Amino acid sequence: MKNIYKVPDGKLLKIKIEIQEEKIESIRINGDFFAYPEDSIELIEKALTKENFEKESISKKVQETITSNNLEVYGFDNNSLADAIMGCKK
Amino acid sequence: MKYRLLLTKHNSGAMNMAIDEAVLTHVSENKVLPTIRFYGWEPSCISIGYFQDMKEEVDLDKCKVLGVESVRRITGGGAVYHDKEVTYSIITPINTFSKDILQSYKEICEGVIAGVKKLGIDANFAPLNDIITNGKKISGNAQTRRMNCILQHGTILYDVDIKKMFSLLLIPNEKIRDKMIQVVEERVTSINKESGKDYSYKEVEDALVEGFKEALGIELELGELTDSEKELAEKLAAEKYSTDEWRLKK
Repeated sequence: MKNIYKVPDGKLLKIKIEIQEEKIESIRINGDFFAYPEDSIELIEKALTKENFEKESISKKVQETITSNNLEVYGFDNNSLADAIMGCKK
Repeated sequence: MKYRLLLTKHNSGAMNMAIDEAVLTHVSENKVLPTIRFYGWEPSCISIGYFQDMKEEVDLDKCKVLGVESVRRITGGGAVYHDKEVTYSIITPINTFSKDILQSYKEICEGVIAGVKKLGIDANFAPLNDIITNGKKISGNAQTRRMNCILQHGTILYDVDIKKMFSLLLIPNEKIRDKMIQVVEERVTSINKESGKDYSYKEVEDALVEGFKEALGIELELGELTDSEKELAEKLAAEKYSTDEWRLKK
């Protein structure tokens, strides 16, 4: 499944995702955003793997990953990323 | 503070990105002065942001037909069609500019703003990473922080062909191509469009050199790439930036 999501006042997120039994099996997050350091996105992708495919838990997990690793992302936040991911379900 | 000034003129996309990285490595190892480089792209080239998927952004067949190259940057941000523009890169120890990322973008962009002012254009910084004049974008910028250094590069358009640019970029929905071109034409401009003049690469480069010098309050010493930087740049161009493994990475 995939989704293209323009974050309001932010950048464009392109999500590709595989779901198995309501859990995220794999996820790729592409887009024209910025993340410091650049491997932040891989950390977020890893953190989301096996997570429930459900907005609240995705948003929470993304924020935890950002906070605990001191990541800085520009162009989206935990909530808009969760919206982009949930948008894959159509 | 003293910087080395490099005027490396026009190179391929892979070589341009490789030179930026080679200089970054050498600045981080304290082997060369912090560096400001101005450069162009020949042939013209689309660069994509570090987090983008080349095959989703760029019409590679069309690029081949038109002789346009494509390369992935080590910085985030979006796809940029590099044609009639001057590109800068500034590579300096991380503590030279604000720790705050947004603020450091702004501090560096002051150099571009002062430069285009010399060409009669009043421009402003528009967070996160644009410079605008009369509400239209005239420069896009992207920064990375690696090896305890900041590398920021950005483009200053002196001419722009939005229809050509769009013919090379993939658009999710073809039906909106014309609409998108129209929107972008209303939002993107160039030095020549704004000034009504016909500035050359060299004139824009000269203005930017002076602009950076004044706005950043720095001394610029015209220099060259060292042999070691050239060697590393050639290696990175061949073994990293021109490979499909890097270009088409997802």
